[in-house]
Amino acid sequence: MNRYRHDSSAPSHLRKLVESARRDDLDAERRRRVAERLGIVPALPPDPGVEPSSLARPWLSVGGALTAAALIVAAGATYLRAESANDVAPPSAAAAPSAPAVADAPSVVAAPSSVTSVDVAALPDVPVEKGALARATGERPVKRVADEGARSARLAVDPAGVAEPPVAAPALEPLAAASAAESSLKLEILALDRVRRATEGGRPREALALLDAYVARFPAGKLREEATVLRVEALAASGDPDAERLARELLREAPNTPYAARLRAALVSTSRE
Amino acid sequence: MAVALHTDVLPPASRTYPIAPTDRLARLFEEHAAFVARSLRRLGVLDRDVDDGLQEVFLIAQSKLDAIEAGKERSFLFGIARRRASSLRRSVDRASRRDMRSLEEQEVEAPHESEKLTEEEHARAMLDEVLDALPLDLRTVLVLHELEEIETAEIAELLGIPVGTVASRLRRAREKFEIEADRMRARLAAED
Repeated sequence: MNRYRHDSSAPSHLRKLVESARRDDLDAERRRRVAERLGIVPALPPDPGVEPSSLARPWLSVGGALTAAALIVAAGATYLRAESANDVAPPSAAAAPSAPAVADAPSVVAAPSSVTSVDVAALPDVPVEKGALARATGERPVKRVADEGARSARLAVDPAGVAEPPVAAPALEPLAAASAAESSLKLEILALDRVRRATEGGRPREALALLDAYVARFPAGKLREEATVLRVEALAASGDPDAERLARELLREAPNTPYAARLRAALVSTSRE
Repeated sequence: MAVALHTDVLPPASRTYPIAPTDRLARLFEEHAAFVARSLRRLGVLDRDVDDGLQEVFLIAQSKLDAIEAGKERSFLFGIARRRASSLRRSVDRASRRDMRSLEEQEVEAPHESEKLTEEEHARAMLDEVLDALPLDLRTVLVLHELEEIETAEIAELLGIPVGTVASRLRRAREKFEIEADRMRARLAAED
């Protein structure tokens, strides 16, 4: 039987539907994460500044035989710690974006512990190392914790067993950072698009009002310069002499602005009027 | 070769077990993780739940390693995946699906920049919806045939059912798929 994908006589909407499943593949990061949780791939290497044996001690006092219930409690504690760690994490580039990794934490840690054979001895170093890590390095603490639960004690204790380079870990975090920044930028773009449409549509007053709203909403916006250029254009379109003043100001402050041509064009249009 | 499995660098301790179960699990994962993940997704598991589902499938496989016949690994894993998908689908409450929809609606306000990106995502969401309308046995053969592009005989082997059954299910699955796709198009057209 012909498949829709290869059948040129099949309706295009069916082919499109089937084609859309091409994106279903498991990406390398998710694959690595699950492999790690299964204990197939070693987790992140232990922090060189942290001595595993000292980390294990407080937990060993709980008793050699941790029950499944204790595992779940530990998982919960890990999650709470992960959350609070996120609150106090230093505002480095790596800290903010790790929030989504935290969101995974409960399922990451709890699932294996409630289902099967996580190496019980793996738990001891979880919370303590977390804190120590946060203090010692001030970076990538949360991701570590999220994956810590499934990590085998052997791997944690014996650095020889930990060959996976830490390269993959930050990959997740910048992604989240990018998406947060991206969505904010997207909102800025949208806001300025409305301004542009208003000016182009012959509604410069509306454009100026929208620009005021933009400035109020994004006081440290990435597109402030673009916004100023749009203001010049809107002012010029409404015949306001402030357009020229503002344009000259901007050209003086940023003589190499990529908007120079647009500014001059806006000024030409005012002088013509 | 997306992820190297570092079984060769495990400390010697792991070698003290004659048939290290980790090795077999690692091999299974290396070979079949992608297929299992795709299958879960296509059998109705939400994208955000695929990781958990994948982990569960391999945890179950790990507990039954001895029962997996050589050469039947994929079939075995697919069977687990199918059952997991079936129960995950049931457990995903309607509310959470509704939440996702309302999220999508919020994004409608800001489609401009990412229009290109979301077109395929939109098609993917529609595929989910159409597949959701199929009973699991029909959906399974359709997914294996159309999306995974597996031949009928192999599907029969994978599912442990006669080739004739696969063929008739596939026929019905395609009929239903086409009807549901049309229905959805009509609905979307009415909404526009």
